[in-house]
Amino acid sequence: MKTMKGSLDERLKMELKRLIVEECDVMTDPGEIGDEESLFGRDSKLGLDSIDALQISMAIQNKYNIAITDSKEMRRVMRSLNTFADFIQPE
Amino acid sequence: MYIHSASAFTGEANADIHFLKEEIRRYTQENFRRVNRFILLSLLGALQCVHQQPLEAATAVYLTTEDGNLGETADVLDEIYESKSLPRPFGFINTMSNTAAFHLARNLGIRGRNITVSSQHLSFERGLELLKADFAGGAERSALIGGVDESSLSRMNRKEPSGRGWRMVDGSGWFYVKLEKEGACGAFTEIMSFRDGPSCMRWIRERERSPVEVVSFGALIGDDEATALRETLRPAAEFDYLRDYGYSGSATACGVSLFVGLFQAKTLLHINRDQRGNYAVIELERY
Repeated sequence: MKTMKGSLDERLKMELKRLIVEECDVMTDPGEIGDEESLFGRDSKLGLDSIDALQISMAIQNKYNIAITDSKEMRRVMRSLNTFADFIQPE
Repeated sequence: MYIHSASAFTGEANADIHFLKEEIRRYTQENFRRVNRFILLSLLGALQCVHQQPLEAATAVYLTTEDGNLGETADVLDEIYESKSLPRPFGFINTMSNTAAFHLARNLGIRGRNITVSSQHLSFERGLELLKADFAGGAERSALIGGVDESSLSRMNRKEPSGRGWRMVDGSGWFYVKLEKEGACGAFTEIMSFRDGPSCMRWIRERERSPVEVVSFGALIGDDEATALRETLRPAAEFDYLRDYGYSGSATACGVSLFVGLFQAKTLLHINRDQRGNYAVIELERY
């Protein structure tokens, strides 16, 4: 079965938002995370950091069996929810 | 060591994490992330103790505990050895014994010494002895000292499930102590350690202080021993905090701090022992 690109898949994006909220223990409604907003850094609304990134990478390895071992790749993948979803589900 | 405030939180065993976070919001607006039950219990008890106290920046934190972050440590070990996976970062970080004291110091903005002390059933007493030495040596002038334990993996819970009928609780009892007497509500007047019961009993018989008004006993003091101590001390009352407030590894810290808030009496003598047969006595005076 052909799947759509992750950033176009609303169900997958909501699943990833819930995963971020749960794994990173942030006080935010998953639905309030914008698809294009920055996830990491002091200027972002969520303000996630490198330890959160590691926590998320462990969670996606367990849930989707996808490993991210390179920190530069992690930063690129986790730039926004859309880039994250496209990484999990390229098309 | 003068007591400037004291309080204890004793809660139902394994209370929901969100409930503990809600309770903490009564004292601070900070949302604590990456924290576990042990850390939340530490924060709740300590913030409750100092929420109306202006703290000196150099205030130290002495966190005493029998079991520490054992609940989360067990989960991390399960991840490694049972699930054969890497532990999750948040869990792994929180297995370090000093994480709770770190969160507390950061929230309160205090930068004094920050240590965690553990010594079986006498953890709180050992922490007090250390703090007494640091006060005497001039290393500290003010400190937050408390005992914190979860009930879930308590040795008493495992070995004596119904034991002497105590309810298992999560406990977090704290004191804000200073060298200065001004504004104090009490003082620790004695903290004594003994290598065995007879030495402890001899000291109690020979002490020349005024009569003890209230006496309390730690969890491992047996019935016969308690009877002998009552006959020697002849206190006006006994505070059975284990029966009234339940047992945790930090029941001593909770019981002694509850005495400060609950009793009108002036003096408390608390007698405790550990599994190795070491004894300790805390004497506290209320103003």
